[in-house]
Amino acid sequence: MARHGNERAVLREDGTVEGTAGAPAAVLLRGARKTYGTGHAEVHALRDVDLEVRRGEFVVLLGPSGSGKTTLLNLIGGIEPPTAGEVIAGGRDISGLGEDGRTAYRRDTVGFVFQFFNLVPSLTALENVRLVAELTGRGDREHAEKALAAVGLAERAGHFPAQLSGGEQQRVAIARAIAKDPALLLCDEPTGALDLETGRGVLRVLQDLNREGRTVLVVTHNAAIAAIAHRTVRMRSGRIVEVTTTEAPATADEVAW
Amino acid sequence: MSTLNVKFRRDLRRRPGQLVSVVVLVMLGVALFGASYDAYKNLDAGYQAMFSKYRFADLTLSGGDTAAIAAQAKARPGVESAAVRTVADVPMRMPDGGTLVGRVVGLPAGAQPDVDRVKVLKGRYLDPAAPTGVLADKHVADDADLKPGGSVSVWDGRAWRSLGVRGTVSSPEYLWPAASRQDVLPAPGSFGVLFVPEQLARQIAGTTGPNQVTVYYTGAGRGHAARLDAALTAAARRHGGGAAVTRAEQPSNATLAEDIKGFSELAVMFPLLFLAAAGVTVYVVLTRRVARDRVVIGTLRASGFRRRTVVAHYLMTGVAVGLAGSVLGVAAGLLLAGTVTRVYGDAIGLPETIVSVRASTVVAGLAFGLVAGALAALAPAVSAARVPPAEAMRGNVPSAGGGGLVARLQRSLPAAERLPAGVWLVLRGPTRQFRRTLYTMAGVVLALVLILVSWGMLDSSQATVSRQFDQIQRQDAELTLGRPLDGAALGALSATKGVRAAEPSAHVPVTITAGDKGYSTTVVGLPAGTRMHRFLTPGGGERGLPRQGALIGAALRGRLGVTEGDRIGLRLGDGRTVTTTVAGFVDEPLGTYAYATLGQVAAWAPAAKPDTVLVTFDAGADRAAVERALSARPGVVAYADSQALKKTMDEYMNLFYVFVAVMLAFGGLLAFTVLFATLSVNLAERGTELATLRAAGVGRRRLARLVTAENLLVVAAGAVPGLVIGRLATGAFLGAFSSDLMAFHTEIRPATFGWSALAVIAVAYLAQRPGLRGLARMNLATLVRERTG
Repeated sequence: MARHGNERAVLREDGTVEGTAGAPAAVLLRGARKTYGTGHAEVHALRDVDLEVRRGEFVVLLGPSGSGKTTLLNLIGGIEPPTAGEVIAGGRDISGLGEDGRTAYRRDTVGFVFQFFNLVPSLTALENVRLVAELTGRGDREHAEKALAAVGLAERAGHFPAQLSGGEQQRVAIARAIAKDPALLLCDEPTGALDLETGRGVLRVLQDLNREGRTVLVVTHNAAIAAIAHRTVRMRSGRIVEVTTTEAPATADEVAW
Repeated sequence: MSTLNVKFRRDLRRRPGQLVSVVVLVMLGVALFGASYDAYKNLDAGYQAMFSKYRFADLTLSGGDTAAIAAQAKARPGVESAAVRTVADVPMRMPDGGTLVGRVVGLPAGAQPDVDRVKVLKGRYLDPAAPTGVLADKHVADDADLKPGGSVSVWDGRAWRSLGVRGTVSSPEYLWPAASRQDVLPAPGSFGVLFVPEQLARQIAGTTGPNQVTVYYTGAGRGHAARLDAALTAAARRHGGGAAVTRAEQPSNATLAEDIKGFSELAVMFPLLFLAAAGVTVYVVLTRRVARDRVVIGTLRASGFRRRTVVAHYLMTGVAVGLAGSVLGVAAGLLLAGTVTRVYGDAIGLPETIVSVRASTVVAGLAFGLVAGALAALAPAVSAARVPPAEAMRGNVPSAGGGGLVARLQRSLPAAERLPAGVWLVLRGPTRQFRRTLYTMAGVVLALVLILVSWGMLDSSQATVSRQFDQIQRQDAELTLGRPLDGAALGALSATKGVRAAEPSAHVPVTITAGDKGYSTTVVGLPAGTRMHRFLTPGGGERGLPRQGALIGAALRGRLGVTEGDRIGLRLGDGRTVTTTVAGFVDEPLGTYAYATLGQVAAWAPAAKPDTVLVTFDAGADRAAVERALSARPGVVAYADSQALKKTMDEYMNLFYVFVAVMLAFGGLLAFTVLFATLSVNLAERGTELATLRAAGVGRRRLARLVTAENLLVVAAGAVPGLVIGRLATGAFLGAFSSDLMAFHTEIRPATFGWSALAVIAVAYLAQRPGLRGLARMNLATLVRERTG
């Protein structure tokens, strides 16, 4: 067992990470820093962030615009490497990986959901889901159909994005993310473009997926969503300023904004 | 500077590659227009200057009472000068022993004639004190290495006469060494002109007086040349005159005029293709920019900006790139025009080349670029002004609907459901921005037209040469005889070692008449069952020589307005006219002849005896040995190897290869620039979804393969109409060059279609590479958060 000089978490030899409470950690950040630009134009998006997300946890990253929450999500998702510090996820340290390594990590470990859905308009709902599964080699047609059913859109499989509502499009995006069965589901403002009712529907799906054991991280500036999370991480100016735990998270239907 | 202008300047710098590609296209279009058009005008001006300086005949009348014809011509208003001379086609022997049938042209020994003067290039003009001193035309002088002080032999009907070369000259009549309208492409060494003292010309021709009148018009006379031509021709016929050749029909002038007509054709085709391509690119790039700027436009409109301000803002982009391209193009065109004029002038031996800068070309070039840029930008600019402010502020870009035709097809084919989603991504991609796909295909079509027209011309020219020398003319050599052919002589020639067969042939110069129309040509007499010449018909068939009447070249159908079975007149050199029937038409690429049996020819012109013998060789015969043996036979005074002309034509083809290579490069450049712009716009537009796939873990190479497949699918789809339109354009282009001098069939090899399409697909593959490299550099963090339609 290799120690990382951190008393709270350990990267095991079998590749898993032991969390502070002995439970396996899905994500572990130590001293993660992200800086854009140089000299006078230097922007510190993240400043020495330490964070541990346990497996099966539902975490909401909350903060105003520019607080660094999306940058943090990008580091965890392997979209960007940190400028300094460590990011351990999916059982390995991804902070030193090159582009190809990060691509493999994203393929094997992460599912993304974005604010504006980012569906391919010329493909049907099912094809959008199948596409990622096929191209990443993870999951097949059956997986895609199951994923679409899981988000309640089995009946809308043959519809194109333009024929779906915003909420339905976002649910297709979620199905696309989970079709390759990722351990980690990262959502960037998943309800940002949706009204309350539609947004609740999307949160319901995310909560269901979490209950099935998937680790979910949601970035939002909407404080009301924090009610459904196990833990809420508040950020400001690139730092974590508060972490709160919710003993009995609310259901999606109880959320209002 | 207004803030909107600052935006305009910064927009120009954003994705500069797309706009640079437009500038390059406009520049090429304008440059090639300027080069082609000015080269055409320069060469035409050069010809006219030479014609004026050396008093090139406006009308040449052969036969009849030349003194009376000349006197009448001189007296007619509009005629400045008329001169008489003797012209004869006779066998010649060059210093290296080579023989040919050349032409002697009589000139006054003491001074230049009033009409059809010559420019002395080397040596001195004729001298009465040197009655056997002659001037060699530049072309034969170059081919046979004739120099002042050298000698050349001419057959005078009885014996070889040795003549001294006093100088070499260039003549407006033989700028291009065409023997006749039927023989505008003589092989080097198969035809040559000697300018000799008039007295000597008569001795060689065996005549007592001149046989030709040359007439030079005043400027005013040239203004109504057609009327003057007709009046003088009619007057000459009253004095027994035969053929009348106008300046426009004169073989050298007609050939060169046809040739430089190519420049004027290119002056239309090039700007059309390149400026259309530039228009396509401006349209695609601006349409995308307007789509990207919808929120900005909405904001401007909501802030009270007038529609025309928005229109002007986007129109300015088209005007700017059009102006930049046309300024560069005009400059490049001027340089190219001068170079082309000088190179071409040197190649044909034009004594003086004229290179002028024409304000009209400069203005037209600038206007073409500006208009192309502005017109292409107009539609996107107007659509920008129509963006409803509220919709634009919401940022709702219309999304693709139900997947279009491909999706409907898919639904009707249940088995298609089993295809991977990636395949559908590729197949449906082109339908997402269907108009842009059509414009991308239009770029492919334009490039293929450019490539196919040039490559198709090469193929068609090769097919034309093959048709003439492999299918129609079967003889290996043509022997000219110094005395009438008899059975014994023919037998001896046939028995020569290496000769498989020999056939007599007769040639009678005639003017074919039908009503008030006439055409000067040669009636070729051949044995009824000739094996030396095949008669191919315009319908694609083959026929034999008729016992009665004549077969005539297909070009005469329109020129004389005759059809099969019509009666035509044959005006002979002695002034007589015999009538006969059009037995049919032949489709021959080089020259427009009439054909009849030897018996029929003898009936029309009893004095005309077989004067040549056509021979074929045994397979594998030593051509040089057979030539030596045949040339040594008594009575044989000239030997022309049929392979020599074919070789010459093949050498012309080598020049054509250079032309085609240049056109391929231009076609490739055109395809590259259009496709680079349209494909990079496609990639830019798909940035978010591609980034999303990358974020989902799809590898760069896999994504690049998908994008490549979609792009090449569009290019391949464009190649289909491109090949069809290219084939039609080649036919139209070649049709413009077809005349009684030369007739081209559009014959493009299947491989040419294949290679042309592959070339464009290969260029498309390269054109998308910069965009694909962008896939690797894309900022996933930013792109996945962007809002798209």
